[in-house]
Amino acid sequence: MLDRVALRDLLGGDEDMVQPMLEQYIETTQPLIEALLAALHAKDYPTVRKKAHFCSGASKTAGAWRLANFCSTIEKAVMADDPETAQTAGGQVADAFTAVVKAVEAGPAGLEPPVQGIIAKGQGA
Amino acid sequence: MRDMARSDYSFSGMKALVIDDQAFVRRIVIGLLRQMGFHSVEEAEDGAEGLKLNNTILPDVIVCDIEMEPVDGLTFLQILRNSKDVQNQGVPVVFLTNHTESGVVKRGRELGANSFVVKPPSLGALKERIVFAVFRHQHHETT
Repeated sequence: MLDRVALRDLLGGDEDMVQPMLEQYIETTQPLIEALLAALHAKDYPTVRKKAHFCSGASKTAGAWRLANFCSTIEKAVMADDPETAQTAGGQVADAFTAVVKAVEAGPAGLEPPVQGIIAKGQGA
Repeated sequence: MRDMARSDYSFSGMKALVIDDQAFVRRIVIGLLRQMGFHSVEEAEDGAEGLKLNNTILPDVIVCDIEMEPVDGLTFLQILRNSKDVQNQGVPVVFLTNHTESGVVKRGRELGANSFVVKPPSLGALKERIVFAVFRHQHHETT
């Protein structure tokens, strides 16, 4: 849901910059998400495409892949004149963004340790 | 051989201008340019502010988003390359793009964009595209 390592790599390995950057991402993306959802509700698809485009770009940069994928799906659906797919993906956006906000609020300490995560995946397979 | 030349390329005396209407993305790109060693990096929120700053600071390279409001990247580039009121008209421009913008990329090339890098730009990808754009620009200026 939130790939802190990808963002840290983008920041040249500067771990101290990750959390402030993510907080800025949340602050600047929140109004975009609200505008996107409002435009979807109003079926204002030119605005939907623009807002989804902005959210997708910022979310990819932040490592919020799931949210980025939903936004990208919405943008592509609007461009393909497929409002139904755009609305379906739009229904996932609020929850995906809330999950990202929670992950950012939890900070690095809220992350599952990578090694344990790998072991758990291996045991579950 | 060419890769080695690119990795050894120095930006230490150069100025860059970043144009993107998303402060978060702008900060990331500015950080990458500073890691590359650019002497100074200025920022603008859209194409209109970018044109003003271009005339003021005369950057050696511009890294520019395409879809921005109110003045987008393509409009910025068109004015930059064609208006008599604009200085530094041949400055290399590297566009930040999304995969969904293939038609826009084509238009960008027609208008004179020097290179493109997909968002989110990694340090390596951005550096490679900037070296490519700046090197070609300097080569053209000296021939």
